Amino acid sequence: MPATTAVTDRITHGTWTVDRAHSGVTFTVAHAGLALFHGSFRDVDARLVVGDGAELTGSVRVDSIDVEDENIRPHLLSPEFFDAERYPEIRFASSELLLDGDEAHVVGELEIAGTQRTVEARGRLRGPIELGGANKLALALETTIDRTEFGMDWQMELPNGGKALADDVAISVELELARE
Amino acid sequence: MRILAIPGSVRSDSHNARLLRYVAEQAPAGVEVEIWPDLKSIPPYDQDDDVEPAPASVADLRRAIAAADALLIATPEYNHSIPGVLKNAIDWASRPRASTPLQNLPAAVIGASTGRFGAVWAQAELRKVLAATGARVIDLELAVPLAAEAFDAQGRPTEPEQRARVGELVGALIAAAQARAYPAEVPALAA
Repeated sequence: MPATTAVTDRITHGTWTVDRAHSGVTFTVAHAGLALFHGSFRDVDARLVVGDGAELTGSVRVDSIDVEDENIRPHLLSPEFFDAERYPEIRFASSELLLDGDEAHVVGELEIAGTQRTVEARGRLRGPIELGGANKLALALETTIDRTEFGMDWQMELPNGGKALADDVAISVELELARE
Repeated sequence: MRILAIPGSVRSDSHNARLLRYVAEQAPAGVEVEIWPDLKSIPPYDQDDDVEPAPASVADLRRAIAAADALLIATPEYNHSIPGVLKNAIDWASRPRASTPLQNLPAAVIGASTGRFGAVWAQAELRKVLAATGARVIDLELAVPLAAEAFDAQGRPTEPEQRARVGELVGALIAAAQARAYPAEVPALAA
């Protein structure tokens, strides 16, 4: 287990697993330098293991992607973007995890379309609280990645000279985790 | 293994059809190359006509693509781009977008032209179009320039280098189809 971790005492040792109904991943990318385009993944898995250290791992099923336009979805699943047939999951494993007060800070390897990059995310910790007979906490994490670093370099020049799609993609992860 | 090969030119003495016939003759054992005979019978794309049942020629093309392990298109160049009949056929085959048999299909683009450049601009445009349909377009190019003099009496490229390039490109296409049929396991995430 990675050594560079610190977890607030209020989280008990053990394994915390995702409550899928109350977890999700959304992404936001600027379209044509104008509006922000949003999408999300419905099928999210995550696990927080707290012992002497702590580790956060997670994955999403790429084909659970949800976007507004029915023609955009297959394009995003195609080899030009996520290449879902070859890489059905996006995966993450932390190498550093700091949960201090309400602050969360995590560093780890993110793999998208078969390419791994180190990313850093920040956010907040809520809980744990007793909820419906379970001990639950929530982690909200945010980061921004450059999609071209993951080989996702699809682009179209706009007639006015701009770009159809920005390189930077903001990612927001909301996890509700229950103590096993 | 089945490769569907589509010539982008419909004329009877098409250089691109000749190039694909050479590919079919040279195909390794176990690889069947079906040359699509008839883009001309595919009607102009009209969303009003894009209903079930599809026009017969369109349904045939969609079935042939769905049955193929790989797609090879040989295109000429018209006005720096691909022929309208070819674009029209791809437009039909790409619909409905969510269930097109082109999605993830390994595809390669080659081209012959009577000019000095061998349809390289049309090939680039065709790669873009195929990628938009979701095809897995391999990143190799084969340009046969001066096509009127580029084939011998048996229909083979006269230049040995061209023949080697054809073999290399078809080999890469077959490898892409095999990789799709037998995907490698994704290794564990190294944190």
